[in-house]
Amino acid sequence: MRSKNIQQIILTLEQFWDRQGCVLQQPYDLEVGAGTMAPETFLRVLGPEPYRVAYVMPSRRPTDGRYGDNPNRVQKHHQYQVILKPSPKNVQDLYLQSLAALGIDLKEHDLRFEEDNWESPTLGAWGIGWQVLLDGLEITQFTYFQQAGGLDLDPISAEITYGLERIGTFIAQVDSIYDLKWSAKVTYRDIRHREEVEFSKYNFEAANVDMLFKLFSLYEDESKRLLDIGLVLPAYDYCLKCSHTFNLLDSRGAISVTERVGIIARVRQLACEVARRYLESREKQGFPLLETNAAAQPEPA
Amino acid sequence: MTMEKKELVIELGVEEIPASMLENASRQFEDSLLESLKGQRLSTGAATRWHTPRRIIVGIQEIPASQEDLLETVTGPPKSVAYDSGGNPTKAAQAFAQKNGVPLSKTKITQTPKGEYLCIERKVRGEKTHRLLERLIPAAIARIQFPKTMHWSPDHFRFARPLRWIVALFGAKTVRFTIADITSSHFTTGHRFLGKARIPVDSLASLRDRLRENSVLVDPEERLVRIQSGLQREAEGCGGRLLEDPDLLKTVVNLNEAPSVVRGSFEDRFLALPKEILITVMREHQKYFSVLDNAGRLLPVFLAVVNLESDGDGIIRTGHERVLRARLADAAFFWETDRKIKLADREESLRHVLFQEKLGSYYDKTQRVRALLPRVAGALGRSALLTDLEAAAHLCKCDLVTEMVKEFTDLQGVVGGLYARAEGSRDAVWRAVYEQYEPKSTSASSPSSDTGAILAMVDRLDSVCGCFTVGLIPSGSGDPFAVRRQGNGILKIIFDHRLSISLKDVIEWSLAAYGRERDPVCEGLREFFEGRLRFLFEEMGYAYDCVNAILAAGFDDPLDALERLRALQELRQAPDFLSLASNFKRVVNILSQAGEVTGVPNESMLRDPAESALWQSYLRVRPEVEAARRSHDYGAALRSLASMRGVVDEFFKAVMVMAEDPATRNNRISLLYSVSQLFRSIADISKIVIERGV
Repeated sequence: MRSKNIQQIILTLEQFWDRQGCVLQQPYDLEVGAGTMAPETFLRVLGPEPYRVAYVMPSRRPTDGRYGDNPNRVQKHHQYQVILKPSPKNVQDLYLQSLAALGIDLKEHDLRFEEDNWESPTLGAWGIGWQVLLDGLEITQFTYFQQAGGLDLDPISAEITYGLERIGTFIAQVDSIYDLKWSAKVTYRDIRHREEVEFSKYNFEAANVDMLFKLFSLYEDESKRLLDIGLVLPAYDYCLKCSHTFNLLDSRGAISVTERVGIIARVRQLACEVARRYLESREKQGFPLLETNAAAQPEPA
Repeated sequence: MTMEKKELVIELGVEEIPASMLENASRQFEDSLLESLKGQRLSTGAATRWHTPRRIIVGIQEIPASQEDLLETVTGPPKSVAYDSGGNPTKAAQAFAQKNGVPLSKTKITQTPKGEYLCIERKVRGEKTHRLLERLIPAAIARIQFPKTMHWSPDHFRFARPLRWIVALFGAKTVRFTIADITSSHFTTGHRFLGKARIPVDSLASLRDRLRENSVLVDPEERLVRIQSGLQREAEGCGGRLLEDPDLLKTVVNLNEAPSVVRGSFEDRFLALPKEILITVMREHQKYFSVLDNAGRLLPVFLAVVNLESDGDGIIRTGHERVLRARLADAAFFWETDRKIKLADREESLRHVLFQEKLGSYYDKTQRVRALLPRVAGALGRSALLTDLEAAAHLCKCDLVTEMVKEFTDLQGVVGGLYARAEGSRDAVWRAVYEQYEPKSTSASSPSSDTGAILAMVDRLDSVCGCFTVGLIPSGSGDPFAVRRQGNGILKIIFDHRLSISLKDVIEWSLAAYGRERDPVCEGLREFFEGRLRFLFEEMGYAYDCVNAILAAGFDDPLDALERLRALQELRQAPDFLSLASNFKRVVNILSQAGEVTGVPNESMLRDPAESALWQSYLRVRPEVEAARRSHDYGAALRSLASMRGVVDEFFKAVMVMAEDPATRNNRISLLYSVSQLFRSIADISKIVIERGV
């Protein structure tokens, strides 16, 4: 079988998770560090409502930029994010079936689940799980969320985060992500390389530190204001903007030791408050997805 | 009739439990099951315990099919209440019989420690073991403790990872129960990719054999043997020898159900990297073993343990090689680029690296270490090393801002040392940087260089004292900053390098570097080091009572305490010594009853020959003990003390210390006080526990 290019990998995963009853969401339209931060994960895992969702999430980590020179490291990579709430008993098997759907014959490869517990101090979130290694390459982070926004979760969601570039290089057996085919004719290099060069320069050298500090405060104030008037979802957008602004400041080396802890705590405070208010708001609405999804989702065999 | 006996088999099927938790969890489960059975008066035969990342298995042989019947005694009112003066049963006796549903004629009188009581005896039928197990097994599962747990199921059951199936058999019959939304059965599951998913079993042997057929080796010992022989074979296959790594071996045994060894290679050009870096990249990130040639040089190969029976077409090998190539390319890149900035020029950047929130940056830490070094080196008589120590102190934390250490954090120190060496630092300097985090544990080796030992000690001293000043004091299981381990490190270096130093002094100096004088945490630190010494001494195999005796006599110079301890433990077995110890207890008791005592006895008042003899003996022994003490010959000191045994015995036989005349009494107490002081400078031997042998 010809190996799949990036968009075929995405298409295969979309089809696979569609069959598992997932809402196929589109990427959230804000800069985030990981698919977890998108509201479809961070907020949906809260409270009792069942939910299944899958989406691609371009994820920005400014400090990981390498000016397009490193074959494996980029300041923006792509995650394929799946949330299954509550986590079904066969969740590991479902995941392995999705790899088979991508054309990976697991009888011929060394696949293992190795302890790796995920934690996000900025989101007040943590979970228990593994990194999934395929012939020694980390291709997925698999997590049972235990807490988000400082709140204990019940039911527990399973989060599957595929690293699309990693899976792509594994399937195509190439050493550099820039050699990956995005579509049949266009390479990853063709569409992403210049972006890596320019954004690395921006993240490390050109970003305006003074402006970013001001923006951080403005975003933070706006988020608080919106929380005060009960606009929880917009408030979370501004919390995400704070988080990305912090990441940019960090990659500019503009955050001192003592500031760092304090700034992370400020973002976490926003995230925790958003989580609390979101849950209240869902409760007021009578947790509308409780009925819809309970009926719509048979427990997979 | 002999009771029928059956085998109990339990398999807990789980999603991959972390390797480090497995062995302990399976041991707990076995212990807990045995305990529960014992608690139900059920005898047990041999027990077997196996584990893989996906299962914890316990088998227990020869458990009776039901409990023995039990004769139970129910105690009622005392005889005096149950019968009146005429010997007739009272209302209380009747009520007791009625409550227990027996006629009064069935009651008896029983003799108890509290006197005679009315009672009844009744037979309790033993319950069927199978029924008991339905309750005992889930309870035993729930008792397994893990360092970190999660929940996932509607009943909020907590475990290291989700439970997915349970096999529970008693004599081939399924013991049915439900826990964490899982109902037990007699079906197990094979290897994830090579085995069947639903396999019926009816005994421990069939569980093992069927799983073997389905590519799972349940016994960790068997996996160990298979991995070891695979590693040997592959290492020899490329003309080298395995770099032994027991910890990694233990990990891979618990990461695989069907282990086999795959050998891959990497390009020769990466051999230009220091060996330490190559080994760490392979070990920490990829869990690969390294191979050395006969001259101890690294070969450009790696051995990976994979969870399949073979790698026929080399697909897995190629995959691992690609991953390692990327990792090594990163390391090579860091090695090249890091060295473009001299280590010394990175010191300023340490201002941005947090040591601890309230204790400032690593730059601040470096400054404190530098301030401490001259005092500590001076106290150790090693001021000649000061120039090298100063140079090493400047460099020691600079590798924290190198890309190499950011990526391979376990290599902190080592990387700094390697960079310093590459920059042409003197041996004593780069080695000190390289070795500053040694020993990594109490069983690991201390720094080999003198400069490394002193730097490593001072660095930890600063951390420990700093943590105490901001309340990061270890308590119970809480020790987030690993202060205890750092304390152990300080003491281990002191012992291994035979450094004689006053803890009180170094604590004061360290606190002074934090701008604290006469801080109340000094007392906490003293107790902390006492605790660490007790732990280390006992770990070294010294008897706890000897340790108590030594610590009670002081431990400000830990090396001195260790030497005293060694001598005491050796002498402990001598018969003279034990009897001396028991007399010394009397001395201590008398002195503690007497309250505050000081001063020397008035010789002219020592009228009894036994007290004179003791005093003369004291005058003879004292200079001997002092001389031995000065030359640190504590064996000789203790032997001199032991020679007093006869006169001490005689004294207690002949002399009444608590004489009626207060002057005589005080004089005798002063005499005992003098004697006790002589002992107390070496060991408080009243702490020695005297076992009454047969």
